[in-house]
Amino acid sequence: MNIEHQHSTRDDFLDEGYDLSWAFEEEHRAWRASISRFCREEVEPAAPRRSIERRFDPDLVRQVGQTGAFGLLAPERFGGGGADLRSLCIAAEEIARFDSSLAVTVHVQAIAIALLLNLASDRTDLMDEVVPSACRGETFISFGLTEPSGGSDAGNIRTRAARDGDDWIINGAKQFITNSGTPFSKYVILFCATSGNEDGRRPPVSAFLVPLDAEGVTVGEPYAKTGWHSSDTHPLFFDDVRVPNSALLGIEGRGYRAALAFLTWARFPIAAMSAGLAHGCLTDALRFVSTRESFGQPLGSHQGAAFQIAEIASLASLARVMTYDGAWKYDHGQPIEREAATAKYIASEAANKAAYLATQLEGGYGFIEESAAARHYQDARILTIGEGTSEVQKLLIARGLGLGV
Amino acid sequence: MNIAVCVKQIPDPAAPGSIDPESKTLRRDGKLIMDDSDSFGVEMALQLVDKAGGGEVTLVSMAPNGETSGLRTALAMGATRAVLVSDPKLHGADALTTAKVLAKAIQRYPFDMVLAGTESSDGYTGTLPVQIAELLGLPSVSFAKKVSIDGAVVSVERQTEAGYDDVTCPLPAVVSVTAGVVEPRYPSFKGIMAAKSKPIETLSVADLELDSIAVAEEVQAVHDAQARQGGEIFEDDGSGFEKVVAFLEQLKLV
Ligand SMILES: Cc1cc2nc3c(=O)[nH]c(=O)nc-3n(C[C@H](O)[C@H](O)[C@H](O)COP(=O)(O)OP(=O)(O)OC[C@H]3O[C@@H](n4cnc5c(N)ncnc54)[C@H](O)[C@@H]3O)c2cc1C
Repeated sequence: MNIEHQHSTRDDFLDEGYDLSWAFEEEHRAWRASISRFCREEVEPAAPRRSIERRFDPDLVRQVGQTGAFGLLAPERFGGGGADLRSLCIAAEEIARFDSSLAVTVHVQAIAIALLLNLASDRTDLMDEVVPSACRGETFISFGLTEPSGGSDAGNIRTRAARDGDDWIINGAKQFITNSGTPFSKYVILFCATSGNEDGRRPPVSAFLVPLDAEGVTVGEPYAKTGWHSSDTHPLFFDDVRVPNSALLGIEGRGYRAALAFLTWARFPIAAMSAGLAHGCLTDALRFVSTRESFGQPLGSHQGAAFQIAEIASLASLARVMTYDGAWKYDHGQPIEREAATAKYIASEAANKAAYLATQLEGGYGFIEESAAARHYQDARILTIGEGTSEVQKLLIARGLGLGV
Repeated sequence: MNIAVCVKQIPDPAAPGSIDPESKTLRRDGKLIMDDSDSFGVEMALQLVDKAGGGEVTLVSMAPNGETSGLRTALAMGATRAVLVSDPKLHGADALTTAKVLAKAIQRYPFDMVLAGTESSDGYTGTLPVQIAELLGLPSVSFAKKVSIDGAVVSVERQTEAGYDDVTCPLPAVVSVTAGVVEPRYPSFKGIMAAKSKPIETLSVADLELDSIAVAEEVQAVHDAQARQGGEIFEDDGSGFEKVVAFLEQLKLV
């Protein structure tokens, strides 16, 4: 933190008129001020290089750990922040303004910790062993649901766990697993079918906490991705992996339904990342059109360009409002099924549109990875795909309206 | 080891400031934030107390309208408590008046050392730390770029134009620290939540038995800074370097 690089602790959103005063308490504002400053001073400067070099930065992760972002949702008893969903959304949004890769790194760890506690909170010994260091970001827990055979139909799980005396033997493969190959990666919450499907019905699915260094676990080569370049994503292979019965989280055969029902709220941090990314597009494009001259005047003085800026600003506001309306409801114990699907869908599509407009406004620079707009464009693409595709969100919305899809 | 830290709460430097036409001083009626230059004192205090194996960090501040936002930030960093002096009588207070108030406030809790920033980012008088030292009858070391404590002695690397002086000084003492003396931490989520329940004692001048205090300084007029003159522009015809060298010679720089 350098005095010459002073930045505003003021909420930039005030400028935009979308500070959502009703949605936040004083501690949310203080948290936003702190994490936003952290992002401008520690995250933003090297974000282009990390992305261009496809580099996951362990030192930055350690710094994030000190802010408490990873453990926000865990109770203080386990070294967490005891925070609400809005606080996690604020972190995801602020980080994604500059670095979506880091935002998803935080997001996955935060939801994995929350899920672990949800499935096995009665196992205090295990929680004491695993959760505090996970909250500090010193050990990562990844979330292993998606399989090579398809993620949208997530109940169709082929990875098998079979009983063998007091142990389980796991065989199968997972695909696109975030945070599974970093220096911190220690566990995966693994969803496995735990009995046959002899009667033609889908087998019950259970959740296990599997150490990534267990014999028979192979962390595959990292994917060469279109975006999220400095996040860590690998396939995982399980070849006769033996785990004790204590690795089973919660009740056999109920892990999957419990997890999916519990994780409905996890779409809000993705919506928040979308809002942050759209806002990042606004900041960068606004800077560009204000400084670039075209036909004898600033680009932003041409109505055609100014309208695009207004469009990006509106999309960013839309994503933010959708996010915090739902997160507020969740924090106040209200149902959020429709809000979660709608916010995830609308916010992620808005982010893509904002990134498209920002890159177009920046012309050739918008195609060069040094520019924030270009990186936002790359990072936006996954947002309508991960954590349930736009189509899956529409399925859920339509079903909620009584349609038999 | 107990340390008192002076923390000024100032209007956000990123928002355009304005001068009150009446008092001709900076307007401070909006939301205030902790002066960045004081975050170094807060961090230094936290680290010194930590190294000493425990103790308290008490923040002292003077601000209008019972403003505490900036203090909450410092409490979220880890300080123990805050003492805020807020009184309409102090409106437009000059540096010496402020020093009198803070010196009194500092004495409310036991301390082994007082830390302050070198100067504030909105007033820039840079006189407050030594004034406090004088009022408390304590030695003072200014411009500290490194601070360590050994028993009842503080060792300071004191920034000078040429380098730095090694200074040692018995405690209690007043030390003003430069930006960069330590790297201030970011308030963590847990710190922010903990700060909500930390005590902030808000006092009037009467509470400090300073009833007779009066602001002695009056700002007569405020003038805009002189606009910068446009520089001289040379077209470089290949001999531009000669002009640059001549210019620097004239300034006795080469
Ligand atoms: C970088 C990255 C990180 C990821 N991290 C994780 C992680 O940590 N853990 C994890 O478990 N997963 C992770 N995923 C997986 C992600 O959640 C899935 O990619 C996503 O759910 C989509 O699944 P799929 O890729 O198998 O696509 P598919 O399910 O095969 O879908 C293909 C297309 O078909 C559409 N479609 C499918 N079914 C229907 C239908 N009924 N009606 C209409 N359209 C339909 C989809 O919308 C999509 O457009 C990650 C993915 C990526 C790329």
